[in-house]
Amino acid sequence: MSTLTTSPGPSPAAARRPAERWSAPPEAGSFRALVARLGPLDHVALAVVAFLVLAVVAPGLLTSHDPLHGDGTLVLQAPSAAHWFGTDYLGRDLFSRIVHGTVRTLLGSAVAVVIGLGVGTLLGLVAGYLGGVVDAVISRLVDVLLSIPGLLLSMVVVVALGFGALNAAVAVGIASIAAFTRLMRSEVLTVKDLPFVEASHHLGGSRAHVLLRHILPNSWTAVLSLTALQFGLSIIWISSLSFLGYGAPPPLPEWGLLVAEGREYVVSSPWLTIVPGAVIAASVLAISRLSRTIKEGSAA
Amino acid sequence: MTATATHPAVPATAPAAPLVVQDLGVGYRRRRGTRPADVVHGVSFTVEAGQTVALVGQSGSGKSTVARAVAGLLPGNGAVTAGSVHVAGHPVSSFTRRQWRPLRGSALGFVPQDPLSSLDPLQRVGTQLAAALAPTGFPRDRVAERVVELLDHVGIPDAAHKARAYPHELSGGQLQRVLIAIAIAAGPALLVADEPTSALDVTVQKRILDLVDGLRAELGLGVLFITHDLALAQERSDEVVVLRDGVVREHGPVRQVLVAPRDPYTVTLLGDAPSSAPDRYRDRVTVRAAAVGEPVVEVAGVSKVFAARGRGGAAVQALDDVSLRLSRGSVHALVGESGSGKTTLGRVVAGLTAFDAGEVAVAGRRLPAEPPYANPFARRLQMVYQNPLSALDPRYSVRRVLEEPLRVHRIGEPAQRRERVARILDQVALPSDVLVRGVRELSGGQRQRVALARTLLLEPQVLVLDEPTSALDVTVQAQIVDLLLSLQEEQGLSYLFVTHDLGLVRQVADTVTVLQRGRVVEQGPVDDVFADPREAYMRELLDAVPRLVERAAPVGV
Amino acid sequence: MPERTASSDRTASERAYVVRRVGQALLVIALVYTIVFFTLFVLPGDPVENKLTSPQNPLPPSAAEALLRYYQLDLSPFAQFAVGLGRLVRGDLGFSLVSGKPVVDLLAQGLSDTVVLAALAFVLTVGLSLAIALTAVFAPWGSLRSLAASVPVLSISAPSFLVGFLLLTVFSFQLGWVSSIRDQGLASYVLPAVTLAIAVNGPLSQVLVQGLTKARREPFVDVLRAKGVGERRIALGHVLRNGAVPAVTMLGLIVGELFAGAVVVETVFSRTGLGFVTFESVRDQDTPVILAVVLLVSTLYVLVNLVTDLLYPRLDPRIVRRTATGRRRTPKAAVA
Repeated sequence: MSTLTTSPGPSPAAARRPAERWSAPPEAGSFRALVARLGPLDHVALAVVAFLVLAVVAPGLLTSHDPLHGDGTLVLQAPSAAHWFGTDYLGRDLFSRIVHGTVRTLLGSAVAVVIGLGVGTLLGLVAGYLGGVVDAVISRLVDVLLSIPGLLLSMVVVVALGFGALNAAVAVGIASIAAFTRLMRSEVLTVKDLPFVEASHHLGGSRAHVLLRHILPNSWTAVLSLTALQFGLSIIWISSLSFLGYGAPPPLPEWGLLVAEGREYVVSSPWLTIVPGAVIAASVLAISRLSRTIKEGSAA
Repeated sequence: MTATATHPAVPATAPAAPLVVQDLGVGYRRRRGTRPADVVHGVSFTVEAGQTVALVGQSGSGKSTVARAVAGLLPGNGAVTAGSVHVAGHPVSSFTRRQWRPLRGSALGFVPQDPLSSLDPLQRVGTQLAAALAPTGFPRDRVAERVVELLDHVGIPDAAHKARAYPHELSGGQLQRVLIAIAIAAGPALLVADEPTSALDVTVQKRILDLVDGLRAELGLGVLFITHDLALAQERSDEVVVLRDGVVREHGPVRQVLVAPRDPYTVTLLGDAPSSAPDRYRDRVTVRAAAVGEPVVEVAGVSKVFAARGRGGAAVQALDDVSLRLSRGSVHALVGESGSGKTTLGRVVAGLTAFDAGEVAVAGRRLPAEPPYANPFARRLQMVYQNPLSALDPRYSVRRVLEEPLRVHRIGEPAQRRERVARILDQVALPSDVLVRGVRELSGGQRQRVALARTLLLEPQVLVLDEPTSALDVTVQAQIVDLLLSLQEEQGLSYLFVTHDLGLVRQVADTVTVLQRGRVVEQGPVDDVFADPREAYMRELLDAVPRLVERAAPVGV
Repeated sequence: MPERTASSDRTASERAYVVRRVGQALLVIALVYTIVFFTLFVLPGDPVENKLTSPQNPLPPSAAEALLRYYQLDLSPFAQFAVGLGRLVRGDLGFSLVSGKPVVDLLAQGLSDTVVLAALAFVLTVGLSLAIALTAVFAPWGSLRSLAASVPVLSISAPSFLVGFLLLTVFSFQLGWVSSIRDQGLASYVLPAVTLAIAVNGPLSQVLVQGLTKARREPFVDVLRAKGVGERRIALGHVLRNGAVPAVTMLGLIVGELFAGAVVVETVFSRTGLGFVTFESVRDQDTPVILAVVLLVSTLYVLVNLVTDLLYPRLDPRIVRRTATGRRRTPKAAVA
């Protein structure tokens, strides 16, 4: 069948690349060039991220409703002009609860990523660079951690640490260490054997020089893009943990918790579960979209 | 222009020529929905039955694009924008994939560039060859038999057994034979060979081209032979088309084009090909030979075994009791086919690979058998890598690349460093504005100049050159070789020149060591070894070098 | 001449390889047990005793007393570990701290339901990923290809409870096709299985898209075309086969994720499988049950990986040499 491949174009990402290369000025990495490359979807993603930042920094600017105390007469209202996302079983404004809950979810994800990134890349760097017994031990440990699905592993850790918002974040962080370690290790192993690294110690460069000036900077790009991915995943895991009741305790709002609270009313008031869930999805999507655009921009 | 007589519009009383290309234009769309931008313009030539036409050009000349357009294998964003292509009388340039299909194999066979990745790695070789017979309606019960026959025909030993092998179990030369068998299986009138030997060793190259030549004569095939190597074109074809920037610069019978080229570009190409001008640097080399001094690199009885790789892998004796000496101010070439150990020896001398036995001394100091991480000999000896792109950190600007050795060795203050970097740029003939550019933004030749400059900043006495020009086009290659020789004169450098190009060796080297499977098979002054090779291996190597010089008159440059 | 010895060498070394891989798999499982044991039983400081003696624990005091004796909490942590390991080898996974029932019974109770769910979701995941990848790489219209290529990102970004509640709202509450309460046999599995498949297929789809994109650019595709092989045959017989090989290494990951995802999905759909058992045991900090669940899931993961590793040479004849170092080559995009 000729129709299957009449226009064998490259993948969407690659299809965009030639255009980028032609339009991009020589200093392709610059901020100006990046802005010039943003498509309509990037603008939407940018708007979502800006909203999230504002919700973390100054939630009061986005909503005047009290997230904790509702109007007992306006219980389980459907979305309306007054209450954009409706109200919950205590008459609390859902939009306000989502806005005020942002900080707990995103801060938690940030904590998780910092733990995973920090510990994971360090272990990966050490394993890949030193090799030998150290590598064998760390690699075996990574095998073990990877054999337990991330969500399950974070449940184990959260049981050991005790329930709570911070503990859930730490648990998710610990559960994501192995992914960072494995990626960093394989990047270091790849980069370590590239001719330009050899050329550098052939020029007389010391181990420290080669590691800091060549291996680390060249391993970093892949790790950074995993960081963005893992940040989105942390949002999902943390809200899953609090959806199951292991994370942030009520009454303070948190995205996963909001879904759990709305669950009782899923038949009559589906927006209470679906809207917070959609907010989570939109945030993760926006973050991954922007990180990808930035990555492609700096790679062009 | 010889063969425009067979116009395809003329109803063919005689069978149509295998290939007629007229005013061909080919372009690529940069973006979906836009007009293709032409990279090939107004190309015309004809391939008659039993005739080989060589399409010669450097990278970017459009020769492969023409080959793909002829074979109906343009990528999805490519299109014929002007003119026509007729294969065995069929106007294929306007064909869709569906229209093309019945012609595939039976009208045109295609021999690709890289045999190693041109067969499906998951399927047995025989199955893939059988698939080429299927469209011809070959009787099914005889397919297996025919597959073995074909493999045998293209010179695969033990064909019945090899038909059941997977591609990774065959050598590059054998794979290319299989691909040729696939190309001729359905009895085409035309064979399109797109640089069929550029990935192969020179002796294998000769055997493969002999095979194609034999098949051409035997089956009366027309052959379109794409190559960057003028000497090969000369040796193997009846007609030559020289392409540059998508335009035909010269076209005619091989004698006419190569003996009395009319186009200045062809003249340059001829002059730059090492095999066409063996005496190009003769005066320089003789001057040097007089001034040869004490040894600056001495290798005595060096052996190296690479441990078995993985299950079932055997240990490889990469070097076996190898000795050589490089005299101060001279060029010593290290030649051999891939796997001969020449690169390993270069790396041992450069202190990059450990060795098991023997001694290596650079400027009178012995190298440790197990080299330390940071090279203690960096300021005496430097290596220049084959591929400058991979030897330069892709994140670095040229300035950072050049300042690195100075920084590592704490040479000079920042101001002095800048001054030295500026001076070295002059020496390698690069403009100062490259300093701010990333290494990925440079051309191949510029990159190799930067890599060379980086090593020279440490003022070494010896350079190990690991095929420094093999990744470059022939004219760029000539420029780099020129540069290397003038640097040597100015700074009294000594070169250990690792290469597979015997033509180049003859041009630039004083002495030579020929390696085969880790052993020295010939050693001595280049003139002696080349004039009177004692070993059969060396004779075979020399034989396999396409010889432009014997038939073409010397071209003055 | 070396023909026969080489092949008998190969079988011998293959056997050695199988033995080593099985040993590695057992080691990983043993280490999982060790790490999780110390994390759950030792790290928090006497969690079992606290749990059993807690006044809120529904377990009757006599049963609690018996369990305290069973777990031999007066021993040192290492001695307790040794006791637990000895029991594990004999198939004794201990008792729930909350209900006092044997852990084996609790697992067995939920397992069959979740296995059916996971199996259905697995088939859906593989089918969905293949459909997405084939569309993203071979669809005739560029816009459809881009659309298909963006589906994996979408499904990775959507939390499974959102997908679950959306499906419930639309198909159970609005359209009334499937009941959310009544057990309707296989039909009741459909919505949760679809939810799981959507949650899990993203990484697999991405690896498949990458694999197919790479495979279709290989020079052998030109040769296939040049010898007259049809486009459909090239796509399905060659590009798909070559491009799907790396995705096979992800099957273990997929199986693990399906069981972990079941915790959320079974909660959303009010099912009582292994996921629900896990949910309850984590909620009640019922450590013996959690340990057993983790051990079960990671054993499954390790087993599937072992099988795919051992079958890999059959999928890719080149592997015979490569697996020598024993390191799994999992595609990079699978990191999540």
